[in-house]
Amino acid sequence: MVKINVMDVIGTTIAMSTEDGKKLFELLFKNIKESHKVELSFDGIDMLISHFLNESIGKLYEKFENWDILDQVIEYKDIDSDDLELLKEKVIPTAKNHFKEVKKIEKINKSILND
Amino acid sequence: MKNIIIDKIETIFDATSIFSDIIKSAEDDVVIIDFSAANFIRNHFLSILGMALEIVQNRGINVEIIKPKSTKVLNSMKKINFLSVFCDEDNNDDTYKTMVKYTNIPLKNNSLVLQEFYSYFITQFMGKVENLSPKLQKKILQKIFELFSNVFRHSDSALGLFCSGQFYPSQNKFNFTIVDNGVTIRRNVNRYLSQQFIKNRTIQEKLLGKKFENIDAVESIKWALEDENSTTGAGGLGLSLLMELIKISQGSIEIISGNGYYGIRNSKEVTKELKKSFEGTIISIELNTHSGSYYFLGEEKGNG
Repeated sequence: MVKINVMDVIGTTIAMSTEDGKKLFELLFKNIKESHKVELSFDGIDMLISHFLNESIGKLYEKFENWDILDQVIEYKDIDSDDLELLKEKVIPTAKNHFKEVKKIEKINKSILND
Repeated sequence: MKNIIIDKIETIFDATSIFSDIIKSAEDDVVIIDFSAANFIRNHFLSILGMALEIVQNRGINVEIIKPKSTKVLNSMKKINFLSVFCDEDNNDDTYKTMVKYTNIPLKNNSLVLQEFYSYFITQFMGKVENLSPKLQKKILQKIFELFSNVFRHSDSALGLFCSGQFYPSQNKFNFTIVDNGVTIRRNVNRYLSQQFIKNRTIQEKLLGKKFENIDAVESIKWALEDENSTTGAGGLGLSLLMELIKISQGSIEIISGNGYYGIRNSKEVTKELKKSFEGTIISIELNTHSGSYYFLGEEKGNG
């Protein structure tokens, strides 16, 4: 299990910007690709914004095929219950819907090209 | 010399009308903002006025302020830190801790300013506004940051964003207005939708020469408020989360962007096309500050 502290990665207590989201995304992507389980701690984070979660965690669903495994691979620690709900009930389902649509359209266009 | 007399700012349209007057000022002019007869100013709309003054000052135009004669109006404008930015005036102590001071936040390299704003908001209001629980306070602040995040990503506003707000404890209300001078929602949404259209067009559609049709300002605002839409890709939840809070608390919202107006008051949606376009976006919210209005805070209430 690899331990990652969000505040150490982004260097601020406000988890908000695209750039910071990308920094965390890169680190998560690398570890998950190497088949590591991740313990992600939000200790010290004062403010967590949906866009940051989209960029750092939501976008993982674009990169990995097996979403059931992806759902299980990150363990969230020191996160406010409302923020965890935001992540699990809104951010992740929205990302799944979005990337499902993207993949569907790519498939349609590919099949037309092959015809 | 241009004299603009302000006797009241009660509605968002009072504020945008003054905004237009100010930014129409000619180069190298002096703009006098005369508040002397002002008898009612909704302080959270001062962010709109402040942005107009910053725009003209950036063009080299001098701004002079004539202060309100009414002590009540003068004091509240001092408490919200508005007058000290534009004229020689001290800020007043916000004894009852009801104001969210007039603040300008740049779009880039703003992490210190944001941390400062966070600490200011928490220390300013923690336990000081009647009926406002710490959890609800955090929730409101989170929605404000969601709004900021939205402006940072989409507006490209040269001067950044401007905001101001006020709690009205006796009415259990919180009003907050955020404004930018950047790309309108209509432009952003149509840019994104046309890119998506081109990307996702089937080969048949391409062969038939199907073209993208722009949507108008009001439809663009509605699009931006929907759950899954975002002009940067997956999951533009910021504005939809805010809408959720407004619906739950029976609050209200007004959005002006370009020539689009969208509002919700008393659970009713109002939209209109404006004759005068606003170069940028204003989002003004009113939330209920009584924790009992939020079902998801029930757990906290029970524990408290």
